[in-house]
Amino acid sequence: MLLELQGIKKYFPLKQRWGGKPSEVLKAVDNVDLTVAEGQSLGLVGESGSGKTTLGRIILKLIPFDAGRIVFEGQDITPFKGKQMRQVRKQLQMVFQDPYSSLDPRFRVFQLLDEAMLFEKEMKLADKEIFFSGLLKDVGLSADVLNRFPHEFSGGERQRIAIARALVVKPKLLILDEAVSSLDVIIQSQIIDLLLTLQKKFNLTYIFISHNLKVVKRISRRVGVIYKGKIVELAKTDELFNNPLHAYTKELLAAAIEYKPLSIRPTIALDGEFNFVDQGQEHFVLKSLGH
Amino acid sequence: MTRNTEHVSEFQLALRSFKKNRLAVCCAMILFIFYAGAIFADFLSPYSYRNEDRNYSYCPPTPVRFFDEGKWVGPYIYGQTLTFNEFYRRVYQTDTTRRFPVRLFVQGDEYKLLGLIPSRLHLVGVQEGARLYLIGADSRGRDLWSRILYGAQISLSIGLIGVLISFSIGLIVGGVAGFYGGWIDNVLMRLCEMVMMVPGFYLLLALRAAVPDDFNSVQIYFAIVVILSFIGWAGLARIIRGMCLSLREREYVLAAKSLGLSDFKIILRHILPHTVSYSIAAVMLSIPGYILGESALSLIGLGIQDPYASWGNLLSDNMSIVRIKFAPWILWPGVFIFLTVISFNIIGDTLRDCLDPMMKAERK
Amino acid sequence: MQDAILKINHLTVAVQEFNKETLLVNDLNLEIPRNRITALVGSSGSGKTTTGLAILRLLPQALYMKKGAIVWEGQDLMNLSENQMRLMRGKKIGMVFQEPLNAFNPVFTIGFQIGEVLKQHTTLSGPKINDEIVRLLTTVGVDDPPRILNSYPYQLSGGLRQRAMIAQAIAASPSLIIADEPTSNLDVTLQAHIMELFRKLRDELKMTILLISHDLGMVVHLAEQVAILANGRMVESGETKSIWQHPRHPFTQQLKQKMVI
Repeated sequence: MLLELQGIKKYFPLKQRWGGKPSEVLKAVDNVDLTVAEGQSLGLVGESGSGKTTLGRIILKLIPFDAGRIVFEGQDITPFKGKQMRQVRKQLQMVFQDPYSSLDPRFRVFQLLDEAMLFEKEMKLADKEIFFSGLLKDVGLSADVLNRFPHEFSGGERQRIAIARALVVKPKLLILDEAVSSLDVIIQSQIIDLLLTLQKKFNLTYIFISHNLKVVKRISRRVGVIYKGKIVELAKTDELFNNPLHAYTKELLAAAIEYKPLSIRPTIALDGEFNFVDQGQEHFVLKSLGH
Repeated sequence: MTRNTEHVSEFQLALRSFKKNRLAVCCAMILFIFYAGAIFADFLSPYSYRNEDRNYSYCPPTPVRFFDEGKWVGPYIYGQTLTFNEFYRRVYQTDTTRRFPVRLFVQGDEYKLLGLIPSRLHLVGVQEGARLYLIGADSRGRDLWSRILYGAQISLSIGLIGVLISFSIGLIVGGVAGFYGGWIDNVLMRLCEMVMMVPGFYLLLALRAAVPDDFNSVQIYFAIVVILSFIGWAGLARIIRGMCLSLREREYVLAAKSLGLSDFKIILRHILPHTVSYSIAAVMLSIPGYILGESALSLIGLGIQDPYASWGNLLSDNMSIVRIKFAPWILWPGVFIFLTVISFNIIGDTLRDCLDPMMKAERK
Repeated sequence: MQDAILKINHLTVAVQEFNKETLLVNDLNLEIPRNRITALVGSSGSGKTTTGLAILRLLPQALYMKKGAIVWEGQDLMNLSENQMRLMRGKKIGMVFQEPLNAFNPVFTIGFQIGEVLKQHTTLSGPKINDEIVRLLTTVGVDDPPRILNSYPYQLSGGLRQRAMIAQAIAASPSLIIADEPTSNLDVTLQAHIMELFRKLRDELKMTILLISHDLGMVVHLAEQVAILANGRMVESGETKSIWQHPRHPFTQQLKQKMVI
């Protein structure tokens, strides 16, 4: 098991009383359990505000969380800080949504890639250039890109640079947070092709967070559906798309494939006790204990 | 599909549009001339700042003539003698018997070029017997033009050094406050506000009063610089803090975090450089404040003391209507202060305008 | 054949960059039929947004129309004075932008900004304006119009903001709405709702819609006519169904092939 999330909770206070617990909270991530095995890419789908982005950032410990454990490669990294965490970060990388703002516009591509090499500073300049050129070739860009600034490139090209940067430290797990959502559909498709190639070449495992089901279907072995901070369904990709069991999943698929608008909320109650039940063949659905 | 554009930084782009603004370029040249004049003051001035001759008290500017009885003879002046008319007013009689040619590259008062190389070479001068006052003399017969050039050294440098110190403090305070937010931000900003709260001029006086009496001039100079920096950092810190607050939300900051960079490195590499462009404009606009602060102190006698010249204390000679009426040239230092302050303001405004659209263009 | 509400003839838009003239839109000819949804499809840089802006003469300063005419009800919009054009904007032709956060002024409430449009183009005043805003917001499917009326743009979710922007665009009852990538920043779930809303505008309010998008898959479910742009040129146009089933130009074929699912 490469990554395990156990009981992750992240609450944002909405109304704060003076010195004390907040009276109203937003449950951005509500008691999430997840496992990701090596080589088994996971897709996380949900609308904006469902908590998927928050969850992605929590996995990388970019934001703090209120309860739960993160176990990576058998190690509980929940209490890790500073130097310890930085060692772990070599294995866990992220590609962000906006290719225009995830690359610092003042840095040339060489510097952007160089910055990622925190621990191999002993490498000589010439070796670095060779290494970076190789990486850039892997993502489909030529080596003369090294001297240019991000603003000289299109969105798709910038995203390739971001992917190259994430690969510099040779991570095991790559989290892609809406990585193709701001790109044209044609470019989206190209980047997905690239990601699939890279997955084979570097033995990567992806956690692909998106609201775009079409894209998630191509790249994930398993798909989890998030709604209001909870995972409501989790199954192998084909199984989920062909046989959706949860009401929300069904609506989501209808909206994505046939562009049928969702019914007016709230229809799906999430209060009360829940159980994540295996309906057979590792197809988990969130069912309230009332059922 | 990559666009073939030349890659220029946003600052270079701003410089380009800056160059198109004629007024701003003009002001930049004015300032360049002033600073060059300050650096080479010893060489450019006919006399040392201490060179006094009470026989020439408040001597008006000596007219430089070129023709003698219709013939071209080159630049020369006549000697002047001090007499008093029936109202006990000063009148200078011109002695037309002897011509004193105005020469270039003459030997004059001794000085050390750039503080190191001793020399006696001056750009212009006349030999003994007459004195060349290009814009007049002060009460002790010292050449005002020379003293203005020497004064530039102090007035202009205090502005620069003071602002550099304030800027450094402001960057650090603002950067830390903006990046961390929370209670750190609270504490630091309240500190800023406390400093900004006290009326500037009174704070200036109070701090100056705290300086020991037995400081020599050099120490007083540095004391003034420190005092001015102490007052000035708060405004800059607030601006930079505001910028950092929004910059830390940028995705490349998050990306840097995910790569494992330490907070210090993130602030230094990814946040503060983005504030520099705007800060430079802010700095340009605050330099006049330092120059005026020093001038104000010197004007009331609390700044640079005689015999050293600063534009402020040159003006302090003149706090009398009678003197201004009869020796109006002693207001010239004011003109230089005015030109300097206006030039910095115009350059700062123009830089800020040039950088603004670039900031929007930076996005896509 | 439906009569056309807007005819674009030989539209050519250029920009001067580093002493070289680049054509962003190259000899575009398009007829937009009344009371239908027409789509302009292409990738970024194809010139589709530029075309939309050119119709309303809202091109950024660096761009200029080199050639062409945009004929609205027999009149070439390029020949109108700026004042006359201003009367057209909002009243006859409305525009919905891609990013509502940028299109709305953050320091004014939604109600105030929609109200501005009404004050400018209608004779309504006072409490009648608020009534009209509530009616508009209900039309676009907003759940709690009075609350939205008093909200600031940043307080609303992306979907609500987009609806508010559409409400603002239709406030003066224009005949043509130009929608530039109206759903690109939204989730699939919200996308479906906005598509539904456009159908409603066409069927119930009898509006004509020019939809600019890069997503051919979405367009196929929404527009009757489509024109495909590449590098500023139109490569194919016609009825959406037939183009989708038998794409003739290689670019269109590539678009269709790359559509996932």
